Amino acid sequence: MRLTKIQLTNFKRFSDYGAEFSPGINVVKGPLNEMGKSTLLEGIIVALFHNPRSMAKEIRDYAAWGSTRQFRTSLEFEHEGNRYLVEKDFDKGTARLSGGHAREELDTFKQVSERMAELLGTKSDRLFLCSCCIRQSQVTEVSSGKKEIGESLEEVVTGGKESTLASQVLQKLDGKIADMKRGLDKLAKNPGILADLKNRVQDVSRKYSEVQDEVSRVEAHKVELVEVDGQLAEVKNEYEKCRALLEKNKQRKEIEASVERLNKDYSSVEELRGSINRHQEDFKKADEALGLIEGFTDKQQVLEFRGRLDDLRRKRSDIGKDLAERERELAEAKGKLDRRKSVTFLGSEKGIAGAAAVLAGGIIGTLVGPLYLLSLVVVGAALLAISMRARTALIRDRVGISGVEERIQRMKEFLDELGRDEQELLTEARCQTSAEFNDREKSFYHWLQKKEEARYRLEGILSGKATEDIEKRRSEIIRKLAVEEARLTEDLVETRLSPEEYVELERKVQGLEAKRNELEDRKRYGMAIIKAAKHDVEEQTGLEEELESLREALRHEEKKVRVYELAREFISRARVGTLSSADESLQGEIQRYFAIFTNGKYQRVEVNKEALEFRVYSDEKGDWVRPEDLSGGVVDEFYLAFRLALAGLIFGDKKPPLILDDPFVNFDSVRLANTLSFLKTLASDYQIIIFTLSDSYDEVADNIILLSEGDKQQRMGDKQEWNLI
Amino acid sequence: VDRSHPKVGHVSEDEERLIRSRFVTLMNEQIENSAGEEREITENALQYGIALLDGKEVL
Repeated sequence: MRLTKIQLTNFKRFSDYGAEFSPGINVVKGPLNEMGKSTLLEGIIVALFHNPRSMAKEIRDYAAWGSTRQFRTSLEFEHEGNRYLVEKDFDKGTARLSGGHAREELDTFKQVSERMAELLGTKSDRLFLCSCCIRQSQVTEVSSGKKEIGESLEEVVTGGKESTLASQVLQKLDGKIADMKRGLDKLAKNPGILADLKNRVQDVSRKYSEVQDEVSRVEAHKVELVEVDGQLAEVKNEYEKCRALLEKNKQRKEIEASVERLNKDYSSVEELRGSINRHQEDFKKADEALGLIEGFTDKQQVLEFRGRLDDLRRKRSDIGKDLAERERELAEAKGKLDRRKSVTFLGSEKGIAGAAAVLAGGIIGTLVGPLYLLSLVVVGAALLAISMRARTALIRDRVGISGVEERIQRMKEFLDELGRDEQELLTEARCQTSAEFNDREKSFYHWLQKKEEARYRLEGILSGKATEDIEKRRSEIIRKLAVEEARLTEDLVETRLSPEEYVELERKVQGLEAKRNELEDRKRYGMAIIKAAKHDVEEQTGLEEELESLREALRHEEKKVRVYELAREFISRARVGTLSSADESLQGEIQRYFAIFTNGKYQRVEVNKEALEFRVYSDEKGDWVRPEDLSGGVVDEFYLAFRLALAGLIFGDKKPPLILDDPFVNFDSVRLANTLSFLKTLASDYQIIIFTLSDSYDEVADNIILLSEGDKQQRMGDKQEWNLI
Repeated sequence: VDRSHPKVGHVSEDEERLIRSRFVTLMNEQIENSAGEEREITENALQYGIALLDGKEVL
């Protein structure tokens, strides 16, 4: 393909600009920056590749500054001797291609794009920019077109005979495999079929495991229940037997204890009865003895007798004592009187008469006789006075004695009276003597005491009960004894256990009871488990089938993935194997160009096309190095070689124009000369368009297009120089 | 397995330059060296691969 003319309208700085290109090397020069070199280059790319209906900002931004309308491009070119015109109106969104030997007319962008791809060798601007368009600032920038480069090389190698590019198949398979495996390694919002099936298998497995565990547990409990039921029946049977035997022995023991107790009660009652009888006899005996004591009817009477008798005796005693005192007093008074004879004499009538005689003789003598006879009067008076006094005392004594004697007499009489009263009392008591009374009284009280003792004892024994009650009690005991003895059957007697056996049996019953309780607990627990079970065997079977179905589906999908992965692996191997020839070709071409550009310094290059990685053998370093590790100029030289090799390999005989945007600024003069010489040779096959500020390429230029400040208003051909060499 | 895929025997191996042909050759070698389920998978991989390289939508 060779460009012949371009017309840009309303395109950035160009309101209406045109340029014509010649075969060979075209040099687009602008002495200064911002004269439109880059704009013209961009215009060529837009005219070749871009969709006029694109609303992409980077496309829309190509419209002239301040313009309300979008731009238009018109590009003329030749291909295999035929002329073509491709026009694009980005304002109207139209594209049109006309020309060729068949005078074809295409007016949709799709048609235009397809045809341009056939003519140019690609419809990817990215591939074109990575190979045919070499811009100084982006000379090493090839990674952005890695995918397109790979596909193009594949097409190159396969000659475009494949129905579908293997790389696209690999992409599809990668996509499909990734889609199916999504969520396997890490959580995904929308997991793929494998993760989904695995999750479902896990879920169902978990559920199945739960159900299986429960069903197993329930089944185990059911089996255990049967065993427990059997054991429980045996234990219950044995327990009932032992329990019955124990009960019999308990009953027997109770009966025997009851009989023993009743016998004891009976003995007590009998003893009581004996005591009662004895006391009753004592009572009776005492009562009879009391009855035999004549004159003594009751205690009150006896007490009254005794009181009266004692009263009489006390009185008699008192009187007797008083009588004795009085008699002693009388005796003393008499004795005293006897002992005072002078007083008795003086007081006697003779004494008084003698005293009176003396007194009278004294008086008379005094009167008649001498005076000394007065003394006789005094003696007579004194004697009289003494006699009178003695007489008084004598009378008093005699009265006193007389009184005592009278009293004694009365006392004696009273004593006699008391004696009679006592006698009467004794008579009333039908006793002859007091001694008899005393004996009877003593006997009376003896028997009375006996009787009272017997009564008290009876009362004590009976404790308020009547002897009839005792008899009733006795009868009751006898009846109960009969009943209890009747209860003591032969069976109870025959099953009698020794105390040791009884204790042993009790222990056995306790053990059996504990065992029975334990078994019943186990049974209840098992039944509760079975009753509480949420899942059954049917559900387990359903889940088993579901799980098997899911596992089968998972196996199927895993197999499918293995099929896809195997297909992918072998397609990849086939592709790599097939493309290895492309690698070799690419490697050879790069080596050839790189050796030219470096003046033969670097001869060996290694290419990893898949990764677009390169290594250059450095003789200086004696090792393989990455191009980026070389100097700036060498890097530019390497990637220029790579791009040219790539363009040759990818586009083959399409031979699109090579657009070089000043990529030689880092070349030294020798290498630049070699390069330009090579480009001059290359220009016989390729149209080369070099954009530059420099005049360095004028010598090799077949056409020079000068850009100036005024070019934005210039019409095509206004300052076009044709320097055909 | 998509039965519309060409059978192994129908694959032409005369175009060694094509990735498709190389793929068929490699797969046939693999099939020969495999057995059982692996062989079945390999045969399926061959059929899928051919269908995909022929531009058929079989995924």
